[in-house]
This record gives sequence, structure tokens and C-alpha cells, in this order.
Amino acid sequence: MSNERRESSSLQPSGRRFRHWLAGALERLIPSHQSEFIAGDLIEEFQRRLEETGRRRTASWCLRQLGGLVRHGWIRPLHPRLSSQEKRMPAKRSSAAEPLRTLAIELRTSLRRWSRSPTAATVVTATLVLGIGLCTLVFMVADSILFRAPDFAEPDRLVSIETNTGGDGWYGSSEPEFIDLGALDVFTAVGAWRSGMVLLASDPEPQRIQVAHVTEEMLPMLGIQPAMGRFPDASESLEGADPVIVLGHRLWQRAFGSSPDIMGEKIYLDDQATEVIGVMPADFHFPVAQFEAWVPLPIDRDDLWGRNNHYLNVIARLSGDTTVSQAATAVGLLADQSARAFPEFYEEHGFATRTQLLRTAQTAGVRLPMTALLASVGLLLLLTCANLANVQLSRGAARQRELAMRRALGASRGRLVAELMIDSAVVSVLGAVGALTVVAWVARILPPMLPDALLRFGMPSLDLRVVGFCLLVTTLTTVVFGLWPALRSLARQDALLGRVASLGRTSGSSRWLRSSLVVSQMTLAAVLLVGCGMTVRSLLNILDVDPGFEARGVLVLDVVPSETVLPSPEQIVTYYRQAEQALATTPGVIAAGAMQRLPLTGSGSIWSIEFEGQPVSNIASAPFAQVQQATPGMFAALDIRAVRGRLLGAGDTVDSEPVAVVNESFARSFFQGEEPVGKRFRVFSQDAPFLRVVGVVEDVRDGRLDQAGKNQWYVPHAQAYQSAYYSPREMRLVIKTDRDSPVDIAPSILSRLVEINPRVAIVRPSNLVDTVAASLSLPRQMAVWFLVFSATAFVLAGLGLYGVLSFMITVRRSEIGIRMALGETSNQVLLRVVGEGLGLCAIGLALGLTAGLGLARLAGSLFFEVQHADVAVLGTTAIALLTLGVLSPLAPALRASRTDPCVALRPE
Amino acid sequence: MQLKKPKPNRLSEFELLVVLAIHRLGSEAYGAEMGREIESRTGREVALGAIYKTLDRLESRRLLTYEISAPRAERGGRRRKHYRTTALGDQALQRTLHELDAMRTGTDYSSEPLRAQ
Repeated sequence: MSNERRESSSLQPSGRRFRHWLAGALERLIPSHQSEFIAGDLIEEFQRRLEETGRRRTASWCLRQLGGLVRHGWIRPLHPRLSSQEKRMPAKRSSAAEPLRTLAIELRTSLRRWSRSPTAATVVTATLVLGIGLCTLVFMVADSILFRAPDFAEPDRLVSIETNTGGDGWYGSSEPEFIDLGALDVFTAVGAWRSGMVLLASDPEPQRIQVAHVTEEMLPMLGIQPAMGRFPDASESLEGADPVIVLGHRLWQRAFGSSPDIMGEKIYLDDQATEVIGVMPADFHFPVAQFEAWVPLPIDRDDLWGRNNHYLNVIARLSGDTTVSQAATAVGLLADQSARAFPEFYEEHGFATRTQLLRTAQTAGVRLPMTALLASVGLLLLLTCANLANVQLSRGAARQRELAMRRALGASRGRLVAELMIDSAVVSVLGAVGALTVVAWVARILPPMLPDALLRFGMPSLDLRVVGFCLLVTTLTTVVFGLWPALRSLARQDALLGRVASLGRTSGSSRWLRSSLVVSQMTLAAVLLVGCGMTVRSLLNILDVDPGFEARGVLVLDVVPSETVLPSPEQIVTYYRQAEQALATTPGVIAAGAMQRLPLTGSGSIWSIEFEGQPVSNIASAPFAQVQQATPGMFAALDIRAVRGRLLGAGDTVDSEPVAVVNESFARSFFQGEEPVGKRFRVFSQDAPFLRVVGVVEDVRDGRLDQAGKNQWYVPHAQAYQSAYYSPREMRLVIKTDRDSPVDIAPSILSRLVEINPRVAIVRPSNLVDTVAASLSLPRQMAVWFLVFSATAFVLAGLGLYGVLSFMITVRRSEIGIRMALGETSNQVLLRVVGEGLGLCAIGLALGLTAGLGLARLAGSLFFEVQHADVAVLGTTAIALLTLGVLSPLAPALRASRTDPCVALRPE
Repeated sequence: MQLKKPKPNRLSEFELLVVLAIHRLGSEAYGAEMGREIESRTGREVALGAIYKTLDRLESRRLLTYEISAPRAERGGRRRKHYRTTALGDQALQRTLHELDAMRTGTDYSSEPLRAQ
């Protein structure tokens, strides 16, 4: 104590200054004739206590005294301080500051009004945070994909050109077609790229990175300069030139620690020394964000590949003021000329082209899901507005007497509307701030959860555009949920002028209005529930699909030997045979094999083929099917079963008869009911041997789970270099283990593989189950979003119904009182109120189901094998909303049924 | 407008404490001193806000009156509001104390002195 006292007295001068300041502040805080004396007494007591009891105790005493001042009404935290200021400065008010002053007063009164009903304020703010927050969040993701122009120079002058010369869908161009396109004068530049994987030598283990092989024109055409260095020049884009690479920013950071000295360094790509000549800026994503480096793609103009080899993705920049449709016409004409000039390639299936904006082409797969999400979240926002409009209407009605009185005393309509609007704006701003906080937080944790398809153009982030959108949504919300009820309330005020005290009845139109709000809420909720039901149903259907293979317990390893390690086909074949044999005897391994490409990872090579006895004159009329090079163990490892004949076996070597196994779709398409086993076909090449079909296997889903299997044939890896062009050097090892988590035994498997050949690079041990899951991430994500939306919609609709009914019951107390006085029992009252709620709910439900079905039809391709009128979805929606229709009115109904007629009628 | 009903001149418990404090302090009866007096005698800390609220109320009921002193002769010296009871105030105090006594007599608490807590 004595220490503290000494300390306090030594602080005397600064203490005095503080006391003066405190006295002034207190006097200003207390708007009263007593302010001087209260402040003086407080300071006096403060000083005494500081000297006698020390600082800590005095501080807590101060807090208690401050609490006392607030509690006893000396300090009002939100007090407009009208009276005291007007007393002090009656005439000094500048006219310019007047509107601001009024606004400030309105703001404070509005805050006070809301703080008087904290429950309503909390519910309204929470609703707004949900509505605006979800809307902003979805916009943030959609913006990064759909609306934001790519960071290229004049992105709306870049077009993508795709072709179709047979088969499904659109694909790239062949080399001669690409050269032809370059000659068109509607383009200033035409470039092409293809994707590839390379092995980057790095510590501690090599990484596989996705690169784009780009023609010389490609990168300069985009109009973005590298952050460091330069693009490949013409000499580096020639066949056989010294290899060079342009690094992506992310790769530069990750693999090279953002070293500025990387320029001119040699790095090892696929065992080849490659010179780093440039680093791109951080926001450069081409063709999509997953590509991490760019290497030259040489095209030998003197020795072009055939017109049937469509491996180049072509992008062009429009010249002058050429429009996309003019360019499309020019490309179409060129295709027609080519089709006439080279009938051997185009005779059978024609030569179709599609020219569209690059951006449109890039977002093709996600546009529909994102649009559906945006539309749903828009509905949710409408629902939020309807809910809040309801709250505001009720609040307006509760203030009827006050507003009527003020109107009668001369308040202008404008002033009252402004006041009601400010009432809405205050909570809207609170809601927007809350929403932005939530979105900022989610933006940090969301990206890892998004599927790759949604991250193609970089991470969604909370930037000015998103904030701007949030503000726009907030303004709209304020107007929709604030202005309309405000005008409504005032329209009624005018009618009420002169009969101020007439209260307690709701006019027919107001009831109708409120009911229609509830109905619209129910409708919106029903639409969202139907959408959610469809999405979940679609996901379940996809999960139900038999992919044709068993992924559980399968370990996947990428084997990427470089050309120097395994130069000859014989060595490649021997390596995979040895690996298969060694792994089969490793403990924990049930079966092991190798395949060129995993199922569900996109389409593989489609080759033209020719059946024995059915010669075709040119490649255009040749049938085609997708090829898969595999070792015999692959079938066992993935549990792909033969339905006829046999699988590939260890006996199918380069010395035995060339064989192939086909899938059921292949057999159906090409053998039309004849026995496939024993038939022979070959790749479309005069000197290729015929392959004998020895078996038929089940279809395996290849691109996506929701797309049926393609015509596919399997060729033994050991024979492929003799019977089907080549035996791939890079393969995926698929190893069926007895573990649930097969990655656990990856080390023992890797050590076996090192024994066979330590120089072969093995990367990315993964679980095949994860590959399957990755292919499902978009539908799964859609289902999650829709679940969130519809759950929110459900709660909001319930709250809305509850709010409206309880309000109606409050204002109709006297009516209920009269009914009960005339003999209606409480059960009858209960039933009638619940019935009213249920009735509104049923109308909304009927409208919502109809609208939901219509919308679902529009978005039909979003859903996989879902009936337009799926009984389970419709039934669940109906049951959910009807349950809501019974439960929400229950509490107000119970309250109504307990009405005491005497009490209810007393005010009358 | 609704007019307030005139209150019968009796004092509530806290009012009683404040009025008694005024009587004890005589010419030194201003807010802070009253607070100290109540606190030192009853052991209960009082909020100055509460005292002034009570003083305002009693004044409006004409039970109290006040004088404002000249600013004190020191740096930042301030004025004080010294309260004293009116005749009406004394009556109210009398009545309240009388009622209290009347109720106390004959109970177990009648002879015990009030204990400071």
C-alpha cells in the first residue's frame, strides 16, 4: 500500500493533467445541469482514493462509478444530446451541416431503436450475414472462373479453335490444319500448345510437373511479358535445339526458392540439361493454373504429321476489327476447302470446326454448375429480403401510432421514409460487415477444399471486385427489404391520419401482403430444396455407378524412366515384366500390373483400326477405338473380369501371336452379335500385324464416372512395340494390396523396384481411391453447396412463417378474444392458426415444386440419371416444408389458444 | 399528457440514507462528502450517479434545496452544490423514521443498535 501511495504522489503533475482532462470529458459526457457538480465530485473522490487506496483499486472504483452513471441515466451511450446542445447554442447552426446532423441523429435513434429489441436485431443481422455472406462467397468463386477476364492483353480478341473429324466432342487440330489456320488473314497470330508431364530432378526426390509445350507464337501472342528473362526464340523452337524452359512463378518459388540467379541455370528435365530462360509473373495462368512451366513445341514444317493426328490445341488472336463470328466463318470455309482437298481424311465424318472466345472455351465444363450455384444463391438472397421485409413491415406496423402522430404533427413523408430506410440501412451495413468478415475468413480456408476444376484460373480471393459486389448486394437488399415496407407503412399512415388511435385490426390488403411474402418464401425454399434434392440424388447415382474396377487397397506409382535409362523397347518391356514379377512376391501385395493410363483420369489415345476382311480405303472411313497398353497383372490388380475368352497372360510375348482384349462396348459396336473371340484387327497401318481378340472384359469408366465407357481395347505391353506402334516407356504401376491404406507399404515396394533398376524414377505413390474421389469432387462440392443453401433457406422460411404468424396473432388478439368469448375453444383456435400457416405453406410448396421442376429441366444436364419428376426428391421436399408448416406456427398458435378473452378485449 | 401523481412525503431506503447524510454533514453536505459519509458509516460503496439521481428527485419533490459555493481557490478550483433539507424534507424524514420505529418496536430487532456491516 505504502509503495503504491509513493508511486501515486510521484505522479502528481501528470495526474493533475489527467484529472483536468477527465473532468472536461465527464462534463461533456453528462448532458445535464448537474454535470459540473457530478464531474467535480467524481474528480475529488478520484483524487482522494488515488492517494489513499492506490491506483489499482481506484481504477476499479472508476469503472464502478462509470457503470453507476450509465445505470442512473447520466450518461446515455446513444443519446442524441439534443436538449443540452440546443440549450447552449440555439441559433448557431450552419445550413450546410444540417442534413449531416439530421443523418447523425437518425442513425443514433435507429441504433437505439434496434438496441431496444436486441432479439430482432440479432436475428435480422444474422439473416443478413447469411444471405449477403453466401452470395458474396459464391460470387467470389464464380468471379474467378466466369467473369474475370484472363490476365492477357485484350483477352476478348483471343479465340480457341476446335475441330471434329469424327467421334464425340471437340478436340484439337493436326499439324497441317494448324499451319493452314496460320495463313488466314482474320488472325494476327495463331499458336498451339499441348500438355505434358516432365520429371524435374530436385532434392530430395524428383517431381513430376505439368508443362505446356507451346509453339513459338503462343506465349508472345498472349501479350504478357515474363517477370524475368524472355520467351523461347525461333531457333530454340526448332527440332533438336538445346532444350529451354520458362518457369511458372509457383514452380520458381517452390522448387528454386525464388532464386533470382536461376536465369541461365541448367536444370534437369527428364534427365536432360535444360536452360531456364524466363520466369512468368505470379498471376499468369496458361492454359490453366495447374500448368507450372512452358517448353518449346517444335513443329517441323518440312515433315508434318498426318491430318489425323489431332494433338494441337489452337489459340488465335483476331486481327483488326474482325469479330468472332467472322473468324468462325473464315475457319469454316477453310475446313470446307480442306475437306474437298483431302477426302482421304475427311470423307467419312466431314471436318467441323468451332471457333469461340478462349474464355468461353476454357470455362465450358464449369459454367453450368457455377450458373446454377449463382442462381440458387440469388434465390437465397431474395428469400433473405422477403424475410427482412416481413420484419420491417411488422416493425412499421408496431410503430403505426407513432408514425401517424408524427405525420399528423407535420413530419414530411420524405423524412419518415428516410428514417425507415436508415433503420434498414443500419442493419444492412452491420450485415455486410459481418458477411465480409466471414467471407474473408472462408477465403483463407476454402481453396484447398475446392475441386481442381474450380481453381483453373487461380485462387479465388477477397479483392475490391468482391467487396464491391458485396456493397452492391447490400444496397439492393436495403432497398428491397427497406424501401418497400417503408412506403407501405407510410401509405397506411396517410389513410390513418385522423384516426390515430384506431389500432388492433389488420387491413385486408396488409394481411394479403404478408401472406404473399410467406408464400414467396416457401416457394423459394421449395425451389432450393428441389435443387438440393436433385444434386444429392445425382451424386448418389454417380456413387452408385459401377466403375468397372475395384479401387480399394490399390497403390498407384508413376514410373517415369528417361530415354537414357531404358533406351530400347526390349529394355522397357523387360523392366515392366521384372517389376510385375518382383512385386507379385512382395509381402502384402495381392496382385500387381502396369497400365499406360489410370481409369477416370481423362481420355486416352484414340487410334484408327482396321478389321480383317473389311479393308478401308482411307483413314477417314476407318473405325477407331481407345487403346490401353497393359501388363497381364493389371487385370487382377484392378479386378477387371473377363466376360468371354481370356485375359492377357504372361505367355503373350513378342514371340507369340499378337493378341488383344476388347471391352464389351467395343464388341457390341464392331461385332454386332457375332462371337468376338477369334476375330482379328490391326492398327491403321499397312505393315502392322493383325491382333487376335482373345477375350472380352467389362467396360471401365474412363473419363468420368457419369460418362459411359468408350470402345476400348487392351494390347499387351510386351507385344505393343511390334503389334501397335510402340510400348510406352512411362506407365502406372497398379498394386493391389491387403491394406486399407496401401500407401503404407509403398516403401517396401519402392525398395524392390530400386533393386531392379535404381535409375528408374518412381514418383507420387497414391491411393487409387483418391483418384476416384478426385473425379467426384465437382458433383460432391455442388451437393455440399446446395445442402448449405437449402438448409439456410429452410431455416429462413421457417423463421419467416413463425414471424408472420406471431405478428398476425398479436394484432388479431381482439378478434381471437371475440371468437373465444363467443364460444370457440382453444383447440379450435390452435387448429385454425396452424391451418392458416399450413395453408400458406401448401400454396408456396405447390408453386415451388412447379418452379423447381421447371428449373431442374433447364439445368437437366447438371444431374446424372435423375428423373425430372423424381418422386423421392419431391416427396422429401414436400414433407420437409409441410413439417415446417406445422411446427413454425405451433408456438404462436399455442399462444393464441391461451388468449384470455377478458384480457384481449380490455383495450376495446 | 399524463401528470405525475404527487408522492406522499416519505423516503425510500436510499433516500433516507442521503437525507440523514445531509443532516450529519451540515454545511459540508455535497455529493462526494455524502458518498464518503454513507460509505464510512454503513460500509457500502455508493455510486455518485445514484446519489445525484436521488438528490435531483428529492429536490424536485421540494424536500431539499441547495446553494452553489464560489469556485474554490486553487488551480482548476470548482464550485460545489451544498444541499440542505427543507421543512418539507424534515417532515418526510420525521415521518419515515417514525414509521420505521413504530414497526421496529416489539420485534426481535427493536433494542439492537444498527450494526455497520
